[in-house]
Amino acid sequence: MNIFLIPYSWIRHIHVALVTTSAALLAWWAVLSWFVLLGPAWSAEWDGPVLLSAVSGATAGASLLSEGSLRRAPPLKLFGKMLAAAALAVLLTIGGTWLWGVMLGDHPDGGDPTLVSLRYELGAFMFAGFGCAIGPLVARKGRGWLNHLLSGFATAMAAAAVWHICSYTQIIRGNDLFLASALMSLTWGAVFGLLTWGIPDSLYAGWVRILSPTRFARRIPIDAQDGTPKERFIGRWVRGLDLWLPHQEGAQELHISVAVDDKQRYAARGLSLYPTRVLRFLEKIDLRYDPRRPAPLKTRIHSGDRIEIGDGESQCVVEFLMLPKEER
Amino acid sequence: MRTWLLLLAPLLALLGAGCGDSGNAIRGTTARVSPPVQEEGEVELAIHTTENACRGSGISEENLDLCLPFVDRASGEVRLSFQPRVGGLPYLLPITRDHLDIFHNKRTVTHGRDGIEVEVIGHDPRRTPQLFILMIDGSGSMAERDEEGVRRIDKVRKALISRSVVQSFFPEDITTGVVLMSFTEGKPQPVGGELEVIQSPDAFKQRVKEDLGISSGYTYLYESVRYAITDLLKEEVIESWLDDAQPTIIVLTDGFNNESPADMCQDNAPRLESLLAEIQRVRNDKSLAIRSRPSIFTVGLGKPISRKLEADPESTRVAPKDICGKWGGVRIDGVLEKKGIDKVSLDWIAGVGGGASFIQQDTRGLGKAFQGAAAERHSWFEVRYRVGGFNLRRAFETTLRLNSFVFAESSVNIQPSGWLDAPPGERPEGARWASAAPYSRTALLVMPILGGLVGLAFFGAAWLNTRRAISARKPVKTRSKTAKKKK
Repeated sequence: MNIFLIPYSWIRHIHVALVTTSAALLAWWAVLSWFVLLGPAWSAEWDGPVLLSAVSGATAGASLLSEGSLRRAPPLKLFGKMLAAAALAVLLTIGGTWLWGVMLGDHPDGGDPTLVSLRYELGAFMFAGFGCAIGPLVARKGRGWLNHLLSGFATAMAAAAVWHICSYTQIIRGNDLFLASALMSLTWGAVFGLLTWGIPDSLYAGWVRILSPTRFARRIPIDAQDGTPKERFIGRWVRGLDLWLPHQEGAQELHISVAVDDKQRYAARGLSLYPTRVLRFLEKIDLRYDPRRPAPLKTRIHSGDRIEIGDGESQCVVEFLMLPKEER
Repeated sequence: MRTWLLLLAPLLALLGAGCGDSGNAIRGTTARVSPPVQEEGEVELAIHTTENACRGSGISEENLDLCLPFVDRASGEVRLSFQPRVGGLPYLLPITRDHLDIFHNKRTVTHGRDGIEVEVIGHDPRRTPQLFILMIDGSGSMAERDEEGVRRIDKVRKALISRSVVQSFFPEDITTGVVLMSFTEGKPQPVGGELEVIQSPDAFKQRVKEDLGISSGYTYLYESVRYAITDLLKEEVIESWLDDAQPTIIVLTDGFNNESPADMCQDNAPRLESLLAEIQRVRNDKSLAIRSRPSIFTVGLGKPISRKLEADPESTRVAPKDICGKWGGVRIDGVLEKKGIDKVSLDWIAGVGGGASFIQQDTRGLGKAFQGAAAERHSWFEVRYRVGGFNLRRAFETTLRLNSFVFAESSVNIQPSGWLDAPPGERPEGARWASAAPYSRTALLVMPILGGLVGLAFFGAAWLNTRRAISARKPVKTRSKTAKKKK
């Protein structure tokens, strides 16, 4: 994965899920290919553990691989973490599903490994979800443990539901464990990727970019290199400003500032008595300085918001953008 | 490194524990099959469960797919193949659906019931040397005419000399012989007066045309069958054939066993019971090679007196109500024989005699019955049945039982995976049964999905850049610029 290919838009929320979904699907395909072309080296009792552990391990590994590649981790460290997470997920899944089998014991139906029934396999799914969550969680040193655990269980439940619906009901075809197992794997990867770890904002930085013809496309970063709060000033003051705009286009000496706090929240402040407006979809915010107020007006800004400076015949426009931090 | 080994050790231990043997994996599927369990008997019903077993049965490489078990959960179909064997060698039989009992998890699989379908397909057809002994009813009732004025004996003659029947009795590639006998009262007599084995189609046709007729008298059906399976087979001219050829007795009658004017239907019960016991004795006679033991086919010409009455070939105990129903005390001669024919006796004789029973009313039907009795044998058979996918959602046992010719039974335990399947079988248009889809079919599912996911990964960036190229990346026209232009 490459952060430059992932714009700061809705797509960044699903990008990791795309990778984990692909990994889970390929894992299912690998197990099926082994089964059908080479013949299984395991007994029927291990069909479930082998499938679930492959899907769970691949998903856990893909999640770590996504994060590592986006963070530009050194290859050795990246693959080491990925393999460790995958191995742990596989181990816990196999152990958990085996434990579930032991718990079912000699139950006449539950003890039959060939019986297609969610009722007796739900526990195996849950153990696999737990294993899938624990692998990446350990690699991430426990950060977001509750999120990981809940995501693991949600993943298991969603995948189990899809597997059951496709194999039991006639919604798709009924009694078809080919599609059911494939869609189960897809769901597993998708839900885990969506819920467990999303691309964080810390991989992006805010920029202000000029949109009006004079000095078009000039831009400045807002964030400090060390991630501390920072404020950038925009106006026509000759020296000491971060972004200079011409007086003819309505900019005043110290017209606006764009700040970022320690939680990477961005805000625009109006510092001039002259017209200053933030424009976004169905919204227009007047940030003109009001002398009666003790502090300048400010508003949170998001990627794509525009700031109009000046009015009438003297006007210019800048936009706020989130770009990959590496862009600097 | 040490940490890695510590992590991997329990994983390998668990995987090692899972390496068990719960049956052979069936190639191209996610099912396993256990080795067949064979019932003790002279004939082995060898169900093929591995490629080596198929090759051992002489099945060619291109037929391996048909030979191996196949379970398609999506269409609810099961396919097995088997070969009847005696002493390890193929025992060629003309098995059809009627000769085989199929049990799915101990439940009978009956064609046509609850949407169940069954088909038995013979493969590798082979002709074996055979001796056909035709026992034709020559009693007075065979002179009776139907609505069109055709005598029953003429229908039989016409059927026997039809091209297809003659070809069945005298195939070109193998030596066969036909013994033509006629029975009424007493000992059956050879047609033409002299007991001989006819070996050429022309001689057979000539004998039928010229010598097959009727003579007055009662119908000693049971005694004729008894004679055919005992004394007749010991005649020198017949016995010399039995070293190579398998004897097939075909009995044709148009009525009841009727040995005296006062015979009532119920009188036939003990006679039939005695005959069935004799047939069973002969067919289980270990002193005879199994290939020399006779099979008995019966052909009834006419309508059965009742369709409700059914034979039970599993047993040789016969009660009057079994064959007569409500007509136990009714006289056969002139009364019951006018109502129809004794189908139950014929079914029973054929059932115990390891053959099949045919009831026909016209020449064409008779021809088919004779052809059925002289049908070609096959080396191995496919059994296909459809019981619905719901019945395949756990391991199941399939039992095949040969209920004709000889008793043989074999079972296999098939375990479809409880988690995943290979691509569902495909059924070409017009085909009755699904066949295994090639594994490459999985790529049709995986590749578009992977392509979609990769495409979606690039779609976000492409969409954003396109949107910006269209709208926001261009310099915004401000009023000041417009004003300058106006100036």
